[in-house]
Parts: sequence; structure tokens; C-alpha cells
Amino acid sequence: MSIVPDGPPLRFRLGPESHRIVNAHGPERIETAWWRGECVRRDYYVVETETGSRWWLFRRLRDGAWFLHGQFA
Amino acid sequence: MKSTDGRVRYAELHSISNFSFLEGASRPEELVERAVELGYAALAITDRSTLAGVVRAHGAWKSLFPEGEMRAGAMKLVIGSQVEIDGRWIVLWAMDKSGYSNLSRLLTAGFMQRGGHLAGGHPAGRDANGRDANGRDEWAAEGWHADRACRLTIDDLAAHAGGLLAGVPLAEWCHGGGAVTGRQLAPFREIFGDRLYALAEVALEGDDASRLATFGKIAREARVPVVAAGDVRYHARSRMPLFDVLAATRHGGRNSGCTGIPGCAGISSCTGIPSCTVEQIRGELLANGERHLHEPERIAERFASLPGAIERSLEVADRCTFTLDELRYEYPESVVPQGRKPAEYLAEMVWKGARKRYPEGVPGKVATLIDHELSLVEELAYEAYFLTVFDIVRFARRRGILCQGRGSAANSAICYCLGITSVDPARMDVLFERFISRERREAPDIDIDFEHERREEVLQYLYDTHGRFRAAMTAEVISYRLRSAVRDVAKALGFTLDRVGRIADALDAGDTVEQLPVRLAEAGLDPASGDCVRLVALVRELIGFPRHLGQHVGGMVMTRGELCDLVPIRPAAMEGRTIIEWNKDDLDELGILKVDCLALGMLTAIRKAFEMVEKAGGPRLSLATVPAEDPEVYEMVSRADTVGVFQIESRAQMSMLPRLRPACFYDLVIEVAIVRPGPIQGDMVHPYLRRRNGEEPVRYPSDAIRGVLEKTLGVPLFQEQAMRLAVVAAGFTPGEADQLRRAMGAWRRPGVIDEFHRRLVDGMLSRGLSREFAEAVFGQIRGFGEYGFPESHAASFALLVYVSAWLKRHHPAAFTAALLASQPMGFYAPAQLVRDARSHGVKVLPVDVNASDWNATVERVGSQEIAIRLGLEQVHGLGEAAGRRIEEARRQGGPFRLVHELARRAGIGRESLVHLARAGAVSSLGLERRRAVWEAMRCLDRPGSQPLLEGLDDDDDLDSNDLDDDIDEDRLDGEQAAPPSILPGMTRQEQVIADYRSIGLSLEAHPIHFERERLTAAGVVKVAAAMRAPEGRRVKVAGIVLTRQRPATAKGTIFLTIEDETGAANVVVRPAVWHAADHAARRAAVLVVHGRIQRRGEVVHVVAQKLETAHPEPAHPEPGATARQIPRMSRDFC
Repeated sequence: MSIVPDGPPLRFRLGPESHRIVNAHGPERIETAWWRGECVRRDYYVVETETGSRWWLFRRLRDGAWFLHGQFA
Repeated sequence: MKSTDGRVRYAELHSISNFSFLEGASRPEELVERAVELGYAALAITDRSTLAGVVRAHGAWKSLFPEGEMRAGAMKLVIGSQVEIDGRWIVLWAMDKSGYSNLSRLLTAGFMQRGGHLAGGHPAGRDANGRDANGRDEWAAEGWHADRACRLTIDDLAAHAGGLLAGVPLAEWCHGGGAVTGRQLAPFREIFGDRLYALAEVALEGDDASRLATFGKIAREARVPVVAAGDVRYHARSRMPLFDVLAATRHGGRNSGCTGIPGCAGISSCTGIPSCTVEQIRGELLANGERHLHEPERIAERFASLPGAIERSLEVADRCTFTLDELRYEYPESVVPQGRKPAEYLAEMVWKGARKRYPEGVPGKVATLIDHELSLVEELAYEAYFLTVFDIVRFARRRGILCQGRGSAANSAICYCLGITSVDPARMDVLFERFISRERREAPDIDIDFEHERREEVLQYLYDTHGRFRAAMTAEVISYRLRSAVRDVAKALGFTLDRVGRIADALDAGDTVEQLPVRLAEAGLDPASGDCVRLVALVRELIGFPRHLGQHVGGMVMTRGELCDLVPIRPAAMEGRTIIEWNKDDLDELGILKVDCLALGMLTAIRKAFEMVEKAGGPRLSLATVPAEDPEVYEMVSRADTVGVFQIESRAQMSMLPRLRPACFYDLVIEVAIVRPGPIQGDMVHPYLRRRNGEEPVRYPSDAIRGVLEKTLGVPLFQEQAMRLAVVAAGFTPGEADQLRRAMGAWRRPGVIDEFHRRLVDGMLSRGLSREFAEAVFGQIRGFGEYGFPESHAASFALLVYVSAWLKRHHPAAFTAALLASQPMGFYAPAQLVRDARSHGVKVLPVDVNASDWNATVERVGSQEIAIRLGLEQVHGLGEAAGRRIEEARRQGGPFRLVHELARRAGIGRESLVHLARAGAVSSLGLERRRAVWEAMRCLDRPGSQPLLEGLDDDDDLDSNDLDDDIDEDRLDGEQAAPPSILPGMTRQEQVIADYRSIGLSLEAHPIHFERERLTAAGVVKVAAAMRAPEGRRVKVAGIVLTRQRPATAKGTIFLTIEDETGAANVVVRPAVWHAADHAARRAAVLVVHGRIQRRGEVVHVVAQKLETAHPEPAHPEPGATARQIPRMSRDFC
């Protein structure tokens, strides 16, 4: 979740765990594939949590929902 | 920086419109309107290597801020462009007029490519006319090829840098890797000093913060101030899909030369087909739709880490004070002799002409008109314009090129005296109420029509006398229409080429995007599918987008100073032509005058007819001296006996003539204007006819309206009347009425039309007119905006109608011969022209190498009769050069006796001989057609002859000398004396068909004649009989299809003309009947029509119920069948 509607995420929850984000890089806005149907519109962030792990998150612009795209090893 | 209302102030300095072809995805107007909506302090339009879109931006800006930018809160419009210097783009903005001129010259230099720079001089070694030291006009001679790339070096830029600010788009420079350092900006800093800026641009690409930091660092290194900008490609995010489609089209175009060979310069997934889909190039697309105009607050947030960048955008905009309003157009003065004052010289020329026009003394009325007009011209300083037109007309006259002017200013006493028009003001004063209006400061409008075969001489004269830097043609912006938009969008969306083809086939000529879903269904697609919905939406947006710049049909712009100070000049696709980047509306907007030099086939025909009449011992004629108001001419016209007559020969015109029954010149003016989409769509035709026939009273809602509409019985028929109505009935100022006209004609923005609609209707209601009347007037004006015909043009056309009708009535042989000699032109093919002449008792003589010139001529037969001799031009496959050599050889050495002699003396090859033989054109050599063909084939086809001659065509024919060496005439004599006996002669039917195939007509018989027995057995009647049948009678008629037409105003109805040996019938085919007919029937050479007779006065139509081919094409044609098969003759206008 984020404080401002368009701003970077502050923390996220994955299963039982909650991660506090200390560093967010982004957004990288992707708008594409409109020709296949609904336009894919996402803001991607690379985030670093307080424990030092790095994740790839995106917010779906249509409804503001957050998704985890992956974790950086 | 915030304004007093708390909003962020921002100037967008970097935006492209759709005049950056296939790149920008919004119209200039949309960018301006959106920027104003967002409260921008300024917007710069910086299209790539062009200023083609700036006038439209300026027009939109003007209409939002009529008082200009002086008004508080008005957005500023900055004029600029981007240029590619040694492979890197740089943005330029015009600070002042000198900067703008430099920009325009820079682009011109880039398009010229070979000439070097244009600052303060001309390309190296060239004079003001673009000629080199030897007086050669390189552009005309070697072709200033229309390679559209604008190539510039940093030296070109340095030479044109004055008055310009420059911006380095760092994001673009950094794109594609490779470090950009401050040092790379140094050469530009050297040129521009403190007029150089670095543009920082980000678009949510993930690393915006670090990018901004990099941009800031580069700018610091280079000691160049950094400015925020948006690299805008479209006005709103919603245009992203269209932008992507354009990108795919652009890629496709780039790969059009692709052969599918690996390593093709295109993209990795390039398929080798000259089209790309959005999917294929998705890796190349911009990642998101951020390149639009954002809220200033949003932009400020993005640039928060680069303090001062937003404020500096205002600084750049403030330094640019130039507006297009500063451009001053000045008429060329080269047309005034040294030391003379234009006004005085013009008056002298006019009075000199007046004395010539009126040898018995200038009538008082005309003299008064001349005085009035001259004083008006002087007051508005239009002398040089009239003298320019006069100069062109005088040139044409010196060269014997027939021409005539038309347009509001052309129909004036002074233009009559200057010889610009031949419509005598003493006879037709009703026209001259409108010349140039003082209050409107309307630019004079004169179009000049020239003989179509000789117009190029006139254009080259203008380039010659004014020079390449002072004269150029107006551009025609070639824009997307439904068909092209569907094609490109469908390809980009990944529709298979087969589907694209099917959709294209399903489209009808008059379709708009509204019909597209129906057509998609017809093509077997589901209009509700996602792909189709997207297709329709994108097509709707794309229609009207400019695709490239072509040349206007004839608009020449000439200036006193150098034209490239006003607008970039570039080569046209056509050799020897140069065009400016603006079209006629752009010129209109800025008050720049053009003279339309148009090509008109009828003038060629009239000039040739005049010559033939004189040569045959008749009087010497000119447009002005053809006897006026001849009742026999009007009687003929009223019978619709008008095949070949200018303008009134079409089916629609012919059906109007017996109803209108023109009885004087002004009736012809009306006739020309009434059969047009404007009056037809505005439903003005029937009221006019009823009132003219006294079947309906004429009432005028007010005296003011009476003044406007009286001469057309209360029905507005001319564009001028529609505009006057807006003034007298709705209280528009003349200037507003003119805006209205343009708003209707140009890009139709619904909002604009609604606004005019409201003002028109309210204006009329407040003047006590009924709502019904007001709505009717609005409907008429709307119809006129697009199609309305001005009276001032109709008047000049009407003169050509009269003159051609007079020639047809009194000199039918010369008239028809002249038409044949001026083909292709008009509505009818030679076959119908010849048929019509013969039905008027004119004798027509066949094509013959011993009698025919290249063109049709007239010949005296007997003591009185004048006959038409068909020209060699009728012979299909014979080139003009070969035909003219035959004419010349005969003139020099007398008649030909033998085929080989003909070949030798005229220097023509075997193919040409065969074409002549097939056409029966060597019958005076005593050979039946098949034998002649055989002789011709043999002619050079024997051992020892030149095998290379095979396949040689006309214009490459050998020198006659080559033949001389090879052919011994005596020996040939002997050969020809022994023709092979195995060749059977042709039947009469075969001869007629051969005639049709080889010369497009037959003097022998009509091809249908030979089918008659079979047709009669099938219940088909002759056309002449059908035409006498009563209303509603069911008939079957058959004939050769002569024309197929689908007028835009007829809602898909097709009009066919079919002809049999007794005459021609007009067939009306409703869309349902047309679509029910199979493909073969729709394209058939000969058609059987089942239908009903419909009579409207003297006009008879066959309303088709069913169409079928008369010749079902056999799968295995029997031998010789083709010799009896009637070829396709139709001229299709749909």
C-alpha cells in the first residue's frame, strides 16, 4: 500500500509476513497489449525491505491493486 | 513558479503534431486546445523537419484568442521545428521574424540537399532564380528529386542560427546507449551561445530520478541551462493506441523494400511483407502512454529534483515573441515595368484593353465599373496581384494557349478588359455585385483555366520569370481517408492481408466510418469482436490525418521577397516542380495569395475547334467573339442534345436541361451550379424548378432576403448567396460569414458546427424569421460548405458551356474532331462522340495512314460538306511519336503505297505496323485487314533482318536509316504481290469487333447488331423501342456498358449507360439489385437489363430489377470465339 495514490509502496504483506519497504525504485509505467484486448497498465517498482530483500511489485492502474511480480535473488 | 491563481506555470516546448507524418498522433489544433485547457503558459509546436502544421496550430490559437496573446491569461504559441543535424535531432524555436525566416530557409536548404545554405544569399554559385553561372536551372534540369529526407550539417545550422533558440533533447540523445557528455553540446553552444538549452524529459521509465540527475550533470558540464519538456507525441493519453498503429505503419513503410532476406534492415520479426503489426514491433514501442500533455502540477512533481527547470520553460517561451501574424505577404513587383507605379500601369493596361474590347467606345456603364474597380484595387493595394494574373494571361496569349479566369475578382470589368475573362460585364451585369469587398478585406480570388495539354508551359514560365525562390506550387495535404485508414489500421492490428483485402473490397466509394461495421460484417467479420471494435475506433481517429504533402492541382504562390522566408520550399514528386509546405487553407489563413493555374481539357478542345473552323474557311473565333445569345443554341441545349458540351453533358445535367430549358446566358450559370451535390443535398433543385415553371409562388421573408435571393427565385443556389444569407438574415459580419464557410469546408469539428448552428438560428429567430426557415438555411449552408459552387466560377464555366454548345450547333464536325483530338476528357468516349456526330448527319471517315494526322481533323468532302477524319490517335497501341512521324513522312513524301514503304519512311517498327493493320488503317494500301496484319508481321521478320526489332515499341522505333540499309523496296514489291491464300477474310461481325478492339469504335456497325437475332429470341427489345415505352412498362434491354457511376449523393445507387445499335439507355440500379447481381454481371462488357420504364418529363430511365451478362464466359472458349467477343468499353466513375 502507498500513502499517495500514485506514490511508491510503503509496505506489503505476503502470506503472514509483513514487509516494510525502505527503498523504492520506480515507477516504471508499462502500458501495452491494448491490441489484444484490455490494455495492460501497470506501475512497476523495485523495492528493498528493511531486511534487505529486493522485490518486484506492480500496481494495476485500473483499480490500484498491488501484485508481486517476483523476488530478486 | 505559480501564477496568482496558485497554478503551476509551465510552457511545453517540445511537441509534435500529426504533421510529423506517422509520428505525431494528434492534430495541431488538438494540441493547442488541450494546452489551453490545461492552462499552459505556452506551447511550442516542433514538428520534425517541417513547418507544415504550424498554420493550423496558429488558426486554432487565433480562434481561442482573437486578440492575440496580449490578453491577460492567453496562452502563447511558439513556432518551431526539429531538425536532424548529422544524425541527431535538435529543437529550434523562432524568437522573432528573422529567426522564423532562418528556420524556413534552413529547412528549404535541407530539402534542396545540393545547394548549401540560404542565409543572406543563394546556394553557392546561384542567382536569385536558382540558376548557376551558365543560367541553368539545375532543379528543373536534373530533377531536384523528391527525396523527402531533410539533410543538414552543423554548418547549415550555423548559417541560419540568427533569431533562433535551440534545445538539445537529452533523452533522445541518450536513447540507444552511448554516453552523452557535455562536450557533445559544445558545437551547438558555440553557435547559439546563451540561446542554447538542454531539454530534460522523463516519462515514468523506471529510472526517472537518475535520468534527471544525468541530464542535470550533462547540462552543467556543457554550461547550458536545463529546461523541463515533455517530448509530446499526442495531446491526450487516449491516443496511445493510434500512436502505436502509426509506428507500425512507419516500420512497415521502412521495410517496404524488404525482400525477406535475413539481415533486412528492419526489425527482427520483420516478415518481409511491407507492413508490420503492432504486436511485431511491440519491443520498439514506447513503454507507456505518458507522452501527452500533462497537468502542469504533475509535471512540476516530476521535475522536483531539477530546480529551476520548470521556470526556465517560461524563460524560453518569453524569449520567443514571434507569431505568424507578423508574416507580411507582398505581391511580386516584377510584373510592373521599371519606373512605373503599379496603379498607374494597371489603369493604363485596363483602358487599353477596354478600347480593344469595345472598339465602338466603352459603354458608360462599363466605364463607371472600371473606375469603381480601379479605385477599390488601389485602396486595397491589389494592383500587383491583378498585374500578376494579367502577366500570366498575356504569356498564354503570346503562346496561343487558350485560357480563362474565374472567381470573384475575375468576373469584373477590369479582368474583362485585361483579357483575363471573356464574360462581358455589359451583358451580364447581374454578376458583378460582388467584386472584392472592402469591409471584408477579402483577398481577390482568381483561378485561371488553361488548355490541359499546355498548362505545364505556363507553370514553367512562372518558375522562370519569378525564380525558384519566389514562386512555388501550393501543397496538397494528402490525408487518410476511409479506405487507406482501414488498410493501415487493419494491417497494424494483425488482420491477415486476405482479410484486409476483403474489407477493402466491401467498402463502397461513398462510405464513411459509420458504414464500416456493416462492411466488416459483409466481409465475413464480426463487427462486435474486439479486433473490429478497435479497428473502427482507430479508423475514426485516423481519418483526416495527413499522410504526405503532394502538390495542389495548380495553385502557384508568387512573392516579392523570397518565398522561403515565409515557408519552406521543397521538391515535388514531379520533375521540375517545387512546392511550399502549406496548403490553400493555410495560405488563406495568413492572407497569402495564390493564383490557381488549372488544366482544363475543354479549353484545348475549343482552341482546336476554333482552328479547324478557321482552316475550313470559317470565321476566326475567340471566346469573346462567338456570337452571343443564339436562340438555336438554347433550343438545342433545352432538348438535352449536349453530348460533348462542357459541363452539361453528364447524365444528371442532361436530365435537368429539359426541365430547366435554359433560354439565356444566366440560365446556363444556374444550370452549371444547380446540378451539384450542394443544391441537391440542400433540396434546392425542386423548389427552384417549381418556381421557375410558375407552379409555386415565390415569397421572401424579408426585403433583405429578397435582395440576396431574387435572381434565383428565392432559392439559394450559389455559395455567395448562402454566405450573404448568414449576413442579412442572421446578422453575421462578412468576416464571420467567411469563417463559417471555412468551418464548414475544413475539418469538421462538431463543436464548431454546433456553435455556428446556434448563432445562425438564434440570429434569424431574433430577426423575426421562423425556426423552420432558419433550420432550412442552416442545412443549405452546411451543404454548401463542402460542395457549394460559387456564382463567380459558374459564370466563367457557363461561357465555356455556351461556346462549346455554339460550336456543336454550328460546326459539329470541327467540334467533334476537336473533342477527339483532346482525349481523354469529358464524360463520353470517342465511340459515343462519333456516334452522336453521325446522328447529327456528320460524315466520319476512317483512320487511314494516307489521310489521318495523329489527331482527328476535318476534311472537306465535295464542295459543301465537312467531314471528320479520325486520327491515328484512335489506334490502340500506337504511340504518339510514331503517329506523328507517319503524319510528317506523308506530308513530305506524299502518300504511302506499301506496308514496307510506310515502315521505312515513317521509321516505325513491326508492332506499330501490326497495330495499324489491325485497326484497318492501311486499307488505302489495298490490303484486307487480316492480310495487312500478316504483311505487317512479316515486314521485318525474315532472315537477315534485325532480330532486335522484336518487341521494340513505338517511341523506341528505329531510325528510318536503319531500315533503308536493310530493305530493298523492289524486292518487297514482289513479295506483297503474292499474299498467302490461306488467310480467310474477316466476317463483318469480326471486323466490327476488331474495330472496337483496335480503335474503340466502329464506323461499320454496332456490335450488338450481330447479336440481335439471339436477343430478340430472348425477349430483349431495342433501346430505341424501350425509350418509347410507357411509364411502368416492363422491358428487357441489352447493350454495351458505356459508363458506371455511383454519385456520392445517390445513396449507393449505381447509374449505368448501356448502348445498342439504336441508342443509349440510362439504367438506374438500386443497391439491392446491384448486390444481387453476380460479379460477372457487375463488370460485364455487355449487359442484359430487366427493368421498368420510368418517365420524368422528357427523361426516360430504365429502373433495373435484374442484371445479367449477355455473354456468359465459357470455361473452354471455342476457337475463334474471341474474335466475336465484344471488348469491355465502360468508363467507370465508381
